[in-house]
Amino acid sequence: MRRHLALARFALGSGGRRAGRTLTLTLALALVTAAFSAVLFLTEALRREYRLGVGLLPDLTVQRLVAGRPGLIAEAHARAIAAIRGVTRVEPRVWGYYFVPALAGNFTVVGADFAGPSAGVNPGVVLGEGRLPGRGATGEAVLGEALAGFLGLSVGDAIELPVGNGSQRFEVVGLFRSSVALWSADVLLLSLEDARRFLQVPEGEATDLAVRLSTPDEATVAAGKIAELVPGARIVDRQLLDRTYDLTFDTRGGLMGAMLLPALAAFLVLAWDRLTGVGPGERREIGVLRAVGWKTSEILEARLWENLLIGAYGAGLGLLGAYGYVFLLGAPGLREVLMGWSSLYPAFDLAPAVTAGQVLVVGTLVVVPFVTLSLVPAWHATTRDPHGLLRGTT
Amino acid sequence: MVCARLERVVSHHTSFFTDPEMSLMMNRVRCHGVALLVLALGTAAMLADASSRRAAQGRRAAEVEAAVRLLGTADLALSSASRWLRHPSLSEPGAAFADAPALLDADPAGALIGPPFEVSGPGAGGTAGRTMPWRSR
Repeated sequence: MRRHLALARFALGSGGRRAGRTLTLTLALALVTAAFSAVLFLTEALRREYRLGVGLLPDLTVQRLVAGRPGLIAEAHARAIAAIRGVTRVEPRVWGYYFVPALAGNFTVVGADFAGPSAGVNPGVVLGEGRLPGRGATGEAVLGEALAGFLGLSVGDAIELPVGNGSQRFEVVGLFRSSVALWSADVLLLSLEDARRFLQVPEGEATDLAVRLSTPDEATVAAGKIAELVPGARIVDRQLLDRTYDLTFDTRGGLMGAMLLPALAAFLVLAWDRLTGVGPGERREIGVLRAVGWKTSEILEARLWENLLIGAYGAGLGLLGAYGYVFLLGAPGLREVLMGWSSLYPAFDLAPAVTAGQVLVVGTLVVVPFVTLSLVPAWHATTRDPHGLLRGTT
Repeated sequence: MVCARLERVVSHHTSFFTDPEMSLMMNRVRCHGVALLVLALGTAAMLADASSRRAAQGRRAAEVEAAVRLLGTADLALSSASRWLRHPSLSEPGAAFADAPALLDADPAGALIGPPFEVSGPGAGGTAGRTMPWRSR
């Protein structure tokens, strides 16, 4: 114990004597850790948000591809699909996009079937203000928070939107809660009939068909039968989505990877600096220690303490910095870049997916390679002749 | 005999902490110990904050479920610039290339939201059952 403490004390003194280098290494390590952790925290939190709602998706979504794009699908297919064994319900859905030049982006128009699946939704749960469009009512709309904010609308206001050669007038009867902004920020929710008129979807056709199964595990079999019934159909399996959506936030390294390259390069340069050899001061120090009888293991232990401390400070500061940056400050800069050029940014509070295990993994991934890399040159130096080290000839 | 051994252990530890050289040694170690303790407490506070935020998220699960039921999709409205960014699960394969002639991926959000391979892959063929082994993960 006494021996280890003495070595730790020597290591602390050694780090203190090279304060500039120690501080630079600690800050560089903290920055690299923070950059990687911030992206990890953000993507994990978004994945977690997505998982909240994925369980309620239809087991199968049937689209029809026309010229490689989703086209309208005949509602008559719904009846044929409903006859397949294991299919409990088929809902033709009408939804689409509306491009607003002033917005430089789309907003999503959703037709809610208040006689069908939307009937059981409690308006008080999902709306922050107002009510849902009445069954059979026309000209009533519910807006997402970001969309209403962008257009400067509140409950009771009216908006006239150009459709084809004419226009359609809607009264805002409700606003979505801010807690569901991640799903509804850009949504214009209308009754099914209004949505059909607004999106110019003819009677008897739908955007897609939502299929519910009695046994979701048989989705692949049902998808095969649907593919035979509806030639050219694209069938999206919820279970498949559930498994693979996990990858969507990180399958494309793209810009995020590019953003992290400088940090990665800095870390590699540091590691290279540590690998290619110790400085003349450290070389002399090792020479003196060897000359006064220190064993190789003692010198390595002292270096281990010194670098463990730098690693612990760097990783700790980096992790805390990344957490504060993402969840307290809202990831300014990173968020704008990742969320794209949309004019409608949902205001949301992400729930961190950070656990003790993740912290331990990130900490280990940073500290272990750093300490290992830094021990190599010290070990090289200790195997050389102490006189040569002192004279600076080896 | 046990008492004698205990006495030796106690005296060893007492001398360890009262030794002036060791005391100096301990000061520096203690200083860094306190700094590391602050970091550890900060990390514990971070984990506690994350846990409380997760609990708050759990409380709004009913709201999210109602919204998904009403809207019919769980895709997040992170970016509405392109339809494949707004609804990656419902966009056709290759939607990212269809926004404008010869346009690849103009929006930075494409770095965050990529179409799921297994969904867009088999979709091109029309069924969900088939997989593309060279793209599966």
